[in-house]
Amino acid sequence: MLILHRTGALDRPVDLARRLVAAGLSLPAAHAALNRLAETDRAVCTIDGRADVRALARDLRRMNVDARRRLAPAAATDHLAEIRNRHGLSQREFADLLGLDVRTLQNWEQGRNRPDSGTASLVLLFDRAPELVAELLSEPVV
Amino acid sequence: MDFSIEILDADVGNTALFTISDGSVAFEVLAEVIFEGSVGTLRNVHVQGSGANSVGPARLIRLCRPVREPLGVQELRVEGATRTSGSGPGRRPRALVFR
Repeated sequence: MLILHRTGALDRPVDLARRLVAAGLSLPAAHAALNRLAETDRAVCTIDGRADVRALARDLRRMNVDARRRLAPAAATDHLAEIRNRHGLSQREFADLLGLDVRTLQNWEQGRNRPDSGTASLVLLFDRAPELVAELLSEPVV
Repeated sequence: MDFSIEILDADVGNTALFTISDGSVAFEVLAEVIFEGSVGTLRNVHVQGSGANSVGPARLIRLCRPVREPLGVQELRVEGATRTSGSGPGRRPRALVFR
């Protein structure tokens, strides 16, 4: 999965759509991604797993579109305790900060269960930007 | 005017990629093609010319006008996608209507 960000004018929109089709998108999906890029600067699209992502990113950059690979949430699920310890948090603190049940967190860290991909994404976000996540998950008291 | 339309790609849905040419200038067009009664609409139209600065409103109008008949409609609406360059980036152009 790629997250696309338009960095300038789309001077060759049909070429852009063609390039996305070559990477595995259907024509309607490529058209939809193009429309999103034009309207909001960003689009998310799922490309063929066999596509050469680096070549695609190079080609898209020439068309004023930056492509970033969406991180796999599974990257967080196998290293929960490591992530938590890296930020100096107890299980209780980590669970409270992210709105998790501490027993559920314990089960995850001991491998009895795995977090869903949404929670795994939240953990990944926290690992990469802990202050921002803490700020966004809170509000001033006064 | 010597005019041609060539469909390059079309999905089982409504999206189509085609060229319109008058013999001297060719446009590639990507759009949703919708038919409602006697009205045909090209929606979220993205246009790309064969050369630099070849996509101008006058040329676009001149090439879109004959598209109505081959589509078999009494009215053709051409609704452009949000612009990212030229006049009015970030806005949708006014719809063109051909009867």
